Amino acid sequence: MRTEAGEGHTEAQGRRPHGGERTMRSAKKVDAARARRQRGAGLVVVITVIAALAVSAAAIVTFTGNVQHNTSTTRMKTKSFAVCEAGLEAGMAFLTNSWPVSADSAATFDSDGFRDRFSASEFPDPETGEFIAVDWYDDLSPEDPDVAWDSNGNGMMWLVAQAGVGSQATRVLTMVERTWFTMALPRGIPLWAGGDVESRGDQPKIFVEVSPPEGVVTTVHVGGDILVNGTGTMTEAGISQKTGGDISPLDQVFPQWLVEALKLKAQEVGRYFTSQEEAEDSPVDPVWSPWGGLSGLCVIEPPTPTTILAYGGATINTEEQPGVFMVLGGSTLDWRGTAQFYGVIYVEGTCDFSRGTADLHGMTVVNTDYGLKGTPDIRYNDNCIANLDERFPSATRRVQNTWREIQPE
Amino acid sequence: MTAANADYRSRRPARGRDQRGITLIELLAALSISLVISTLILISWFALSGSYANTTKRGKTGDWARVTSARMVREIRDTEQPPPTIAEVGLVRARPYYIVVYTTFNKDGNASAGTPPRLVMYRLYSDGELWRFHDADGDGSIDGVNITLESWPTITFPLAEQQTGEGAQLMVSDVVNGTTPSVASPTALFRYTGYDDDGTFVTATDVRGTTERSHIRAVEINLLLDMNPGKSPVYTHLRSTAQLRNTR
Repeated sequence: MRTEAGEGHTEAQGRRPHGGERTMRSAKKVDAARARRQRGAGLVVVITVIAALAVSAAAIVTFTGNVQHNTSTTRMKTKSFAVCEAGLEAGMAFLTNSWPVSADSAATFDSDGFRDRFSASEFPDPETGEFIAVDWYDDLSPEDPDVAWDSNGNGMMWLVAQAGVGSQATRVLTMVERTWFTMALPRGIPLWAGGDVESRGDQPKIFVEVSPPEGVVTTVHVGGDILVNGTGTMTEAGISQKTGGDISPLDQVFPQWLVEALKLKAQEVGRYFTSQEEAEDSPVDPVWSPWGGLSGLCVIEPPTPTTILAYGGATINTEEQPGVFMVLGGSTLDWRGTAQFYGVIYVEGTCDFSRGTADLHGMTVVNTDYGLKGTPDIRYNDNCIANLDERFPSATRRVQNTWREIQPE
Repeated sequence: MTAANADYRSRRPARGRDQRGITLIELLAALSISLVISTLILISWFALSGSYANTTKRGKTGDWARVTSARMVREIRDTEQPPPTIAEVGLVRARPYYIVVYTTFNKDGNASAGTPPRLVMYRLYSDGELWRFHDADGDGSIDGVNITLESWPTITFPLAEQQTGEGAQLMVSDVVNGTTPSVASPTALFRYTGYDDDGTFVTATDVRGTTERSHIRAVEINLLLDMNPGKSPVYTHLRSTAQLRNTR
């Protein structure tokens, strides 16, 4: 450009009307200047080097961009897989406490709560679809994903989780099964008391409603003395009595690990209370408290020992769905009224089973003294004890050999 | 004498000075300088071109390696037991340079429980190529390959399998496990970990027997790749572990 401009200027000067020597000198100067300007190859070198550097830079930029893209894709894929498996685990934990036993009881997985556990910067929302979707359906043949509850009652369902993170998505399918809290309670024990048992009024007060398995003798275990205030014996004919050092130790009847495990489970599922009122006002839960209140699994542990006064005429639990009612922390259970309770009662303090006509169908375990007054009865029901072994779920686990990573939808 | 002749004479000495040219020394110097500059330019150009080619090749090989590793992990992770009619476990062969598994990964209809797994094999050959084969026709075997061959430490699988093997698919080239760190002491492509009956943690590159193979809980994949054969760095090590979800 500079050269062309100079040449133009020179030509213009050459056309000046003065002519002669001045014109010749000007031409020589122009030639000399032009020669000086055109004698090197600097421009060519510079252009070549720049071109080479441009190619190199382009290669580096392309390579870096490619690597970054691939790295990002791999990271997102890894994250989506991790989120998906976390969703699967969360789904199993959810089903442990909310196993859908009917079409009406089908609960919904809390996707929003799950999403909140992951930072949006590190786990960006997916470009399409949801961050996490956890669904389940029954293991029917042919398969029917619309049946979102355990319609065949076999304790198994398909669980499918799909996670989307950034541009990547992962979908995993597996079959899950319910596992049960196996209590393995000994059969044929209507009453186990660590201290004395006082039985007043009409006798007997302890009966057999449903006999234990063949070969098992129904036996009352009393660590202290059996005090009968009236005529007759405390137990009906055919029920054996053991007292003092002859009784089975508590660890063989209702072991401490079972107490702790039930307490922990009650805390997990909202069935652990510190007051009687709190327990009685508790809502219905299809699995853990089918009738609300004291039904199902109910653990009351007041901060300081007190008296739990249970009365009323309700039927609490059934033979098919027995419950476990526990009073911990040394409090006294005072059971009155006309209620019919099915299942197991465990009291760490004393138990006063008096007044009214209430019945306990199943088994009672009391650490210390037990009082039987009025007309209430204990009716040993072996079905209640047997049914407790598949009454409360302990966990939901994967069925081996059913895990599959499938195409995201 | 005309004014024109006078002008010619007065101009001639000046033109002589202008047209005297350059000396031989100057010419040689200029040529030398030009030669040096040209050489430098060409060297730079070829170096940059080579660098570009290497970079591109590294990128491509890296991509393939990454895809291969991811595919192997996902497919092996999905290993599951075959139907009860087949007296085998999910991991059919567990050898240093090849693995054979039953898996449903990427198989049509695998979302349905009724879809059985199929046989898939990954095998490394002496030409540095890693190939994948699978039972495409569903007859329960991978035709055209022999899954009972022994090969350690030297890789001796017949290369013809790459053409005849059922569902043959080249995954990645320039794999140097067989020569790294040396031919006499190579690096196994697969390493297997699990627990014995007594709970002892076990790791091995070759596991024989259905009972022993059923104890495998994870497969470690060590993929050594020469991104640019003949140039440093000698190899790149991609390592990953597939936790077998269906054996836990």
